[in-house]
Amino acid sequence: MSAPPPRSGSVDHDELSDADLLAAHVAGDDRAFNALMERHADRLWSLALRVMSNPEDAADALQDAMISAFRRASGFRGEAAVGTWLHRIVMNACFDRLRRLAARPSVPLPEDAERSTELTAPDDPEADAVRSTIADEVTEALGRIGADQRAALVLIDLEGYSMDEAARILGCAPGTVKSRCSRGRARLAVLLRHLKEV
Amino acid sequence: MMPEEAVTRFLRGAPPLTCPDDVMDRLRGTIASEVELRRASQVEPDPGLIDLKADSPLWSDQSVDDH
Repeated sequence: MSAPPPRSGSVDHDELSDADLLAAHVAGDDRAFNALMERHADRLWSLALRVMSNPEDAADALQDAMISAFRRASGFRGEAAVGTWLHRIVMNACFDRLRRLAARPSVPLPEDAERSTELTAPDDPEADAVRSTIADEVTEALGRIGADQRAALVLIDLEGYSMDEAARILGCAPGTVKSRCSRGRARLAVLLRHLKEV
Repeated sequence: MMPEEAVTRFLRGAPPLTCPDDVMDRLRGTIASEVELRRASQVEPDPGLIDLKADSPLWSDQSVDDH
């Protein structure tokens, strides 16, 4: 991590690297963490939503994760990219929440399903209807496989992480990530067997 | 059975997601609260308070003989 920038209000956070933003936050810059969070928000939201399969739970997990990252920033040792570190914190928050939910199972209300569609489908007037339907079915199928397999597939196939990076985020061996992906894809192949590629 | 590669292509074809405005607002509010907490915990003690301890008749390092 390089030297933190001055604390003056004139610092242009957009021009700082992730590592510099985190260093500035640790040094007391009150706006630095917000800038870092906004920079990664879409990818972290995508991760949380796909792992949690529910927008309300994803928002709660993301909030837990951001509080944790804010408070633990001084412990960041720079061994991985800041983005990878944030992904790991979000993933941990998701699994914490999934464990709590598993201990207290509940049936989602119909409004949740409607809101899920609303929140997961970005405005894109040119989006192809068939692709959109397939994307919805893929998202739904992801929600029906185990959380471990889902998390591995989200990191590897959706986020584009390498096996080693995904293993670091998930806190397991690369071989474990590989086998979870393989088993997850096998389950998805059954769930999505009615789809045809466009 | 659909091959693994096809499943991967379906997954990679999923549209990118955007963090909704209401979630973003909530996160900003959460971080603003954290910033306030941090500020409150970093208040420097008033230098004038340092002498109060030494001068106070209620404070002594002497052991008390309770007779």
